Amino acid sequence: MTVESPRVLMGFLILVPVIALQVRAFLKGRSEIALLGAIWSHDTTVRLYTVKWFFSSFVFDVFLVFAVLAAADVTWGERPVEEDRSGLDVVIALDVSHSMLARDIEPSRLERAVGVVRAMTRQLPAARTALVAFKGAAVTVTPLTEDGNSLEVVLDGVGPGLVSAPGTNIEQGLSEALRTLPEASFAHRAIVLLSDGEALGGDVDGPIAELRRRGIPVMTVMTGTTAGSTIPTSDGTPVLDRDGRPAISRADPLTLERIATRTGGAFFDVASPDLVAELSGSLSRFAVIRGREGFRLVPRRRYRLFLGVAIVALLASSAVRVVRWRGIV
Amino acid sequence: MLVFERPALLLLLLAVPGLVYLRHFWRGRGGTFSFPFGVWGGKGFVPPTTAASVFVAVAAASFWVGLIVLLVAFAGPQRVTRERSFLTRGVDIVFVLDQSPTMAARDFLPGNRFEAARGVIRRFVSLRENDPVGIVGFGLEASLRVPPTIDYEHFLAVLDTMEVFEMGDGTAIGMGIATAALHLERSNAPRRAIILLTDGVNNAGEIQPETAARAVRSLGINLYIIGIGSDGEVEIEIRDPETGRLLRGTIRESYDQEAMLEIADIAGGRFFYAGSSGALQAAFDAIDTIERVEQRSLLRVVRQPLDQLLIFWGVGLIGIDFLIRRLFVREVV
Repeated sequence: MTVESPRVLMGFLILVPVIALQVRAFLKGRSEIALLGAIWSHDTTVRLYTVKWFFSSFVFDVFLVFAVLAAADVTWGERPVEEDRSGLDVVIALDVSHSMLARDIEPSRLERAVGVVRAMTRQLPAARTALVAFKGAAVTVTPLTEDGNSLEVVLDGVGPGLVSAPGTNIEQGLSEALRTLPEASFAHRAIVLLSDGEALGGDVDGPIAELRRRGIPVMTVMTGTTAGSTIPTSDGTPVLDRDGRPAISRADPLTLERIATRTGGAFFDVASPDLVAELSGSLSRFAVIRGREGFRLVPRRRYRLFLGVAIVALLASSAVRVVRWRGIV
Repeated sequence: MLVFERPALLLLLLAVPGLVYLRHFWRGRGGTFSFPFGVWGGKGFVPPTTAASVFVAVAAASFWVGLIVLLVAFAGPQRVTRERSFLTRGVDIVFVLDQSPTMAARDFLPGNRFEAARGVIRRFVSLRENDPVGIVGFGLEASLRVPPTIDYEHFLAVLDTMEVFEMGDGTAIGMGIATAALHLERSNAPRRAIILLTDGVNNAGEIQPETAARAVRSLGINLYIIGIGSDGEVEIEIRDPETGRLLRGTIRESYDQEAMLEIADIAGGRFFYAGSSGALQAAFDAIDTIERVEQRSLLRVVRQPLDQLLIFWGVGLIGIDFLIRRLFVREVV
């Protein structure tokens, strides 16, 4: 079971004020029944009122819970959809944040990543490639092209200076990579994300949902180590944290593994000796297998199940108030 | 176009009027009690319109509209678009655009030569669907600004950032052609073309235009040369990129038509004279007609689900009903 829009689950928090309002309304209603006097203050009436309030409030809360689950887009199981494509379009999303200058990977995370990109594109000469660089924002450095020369040239100038916005926003990188892949392309489409995974902003769930919908896998390459290292500045001294101590940048495999798993891609470690062969092999296999099968599997959406329960609960909540119980209220 | 995954579920909407009746008009419904109040033989009691009654009406409307929206979401609304995928390879076209200072000459009113060239390139690209387009800018030097790509949005964004004089004071025509040829060299497109737009004479760069033209011919690339600019004295207005000063004057400089014809001849290409906006457009129209290949395409149906948006709206409307009943109206039961 997968929740396609996990942020929507934050909607459960709305139950807190809703229940508070329901309790407040109950207490006020009970005292107002007493004010009405006569039969209305009778014990039976108050008991009946309590039972009606409870059922009405309970089913309304059930409505909210299931409506949130429906909006969160819960999926399980898969179904095939036709995918008649051939060839391969690859967008390389390259993290150029300052943390990529760390030297826990020799000569530096960024230089190693650039080396991987060069070697990978040489092993995929028939593929069209694009390069997206991202930091706090993302820019298309090279649009999708067959011209391998242009990618070679721009890779020479890749660095943190390519993007002015500070930080590391993987969401921006993936969104720009998605934009770069044209809908009109007949080729199979994939993204290669090279990053230390140390995200300082953004939420990758949005692009992941879109990538899943469009059947675009993301191959993630963790460019750094979990032990981490300091980040050198231009004069060689390390970047300092707020306390004045050298800041340690550590690679975060969790985010990168999640992106790869959720999109049907694969996770790689830049330290792997056969990385380039594995990465380019994985991309080639993806295009060949999907091209041969002629279909891809997409998650089976179950929102209707939850929405159905929500609607029934909503009507029940309303019906509790409509039905006259014991001929009184 | 809007379609529904399970349109039969829309029949549930037929139950809504009945539910509205039961909730608001049925005499036996709960939450109400009847009492006689009126003058014998006179008109019955009509409750006055108060703020509370308005709130009750708004709450009821929100509830029922919210329910309708949720029922529509239940039927699986989807926006359907048709996506065209091309099964064949288009023509690779690289523009080689002169950015030398003289391209600021104002004989293509209301703008200058450069703006006119940019305008026709933009129009040319907007008529293409599956033909990769790229651009090389040249002045004193030449540089690839966009490699051949079908990402037209990116191409046009870069085209808009290009300015006269940014590549230095010079006209390296040979370098421009050679750079374009280099980036078309490995292309496996059925047709490849270079469209050179210039108003000057080659006076910079390490590669002579004739040499570049021979390379173009040997690679089987079609070369089109468009000579921009009218004869005679022309006003020029240009901002120096280094000092920021606005320079004004007149020029009498023009391209060497004989040399252009010779380059086109060596490359096996064509030369177009464009002394006016109309002639420039006509040259592009002619190239547009020549550089076409038969394309086969496939129409794909893309479905964008809309249920999540409708669920948000539906829950929001039900929430308005809940808040009004709980906060503004003293509803007892």
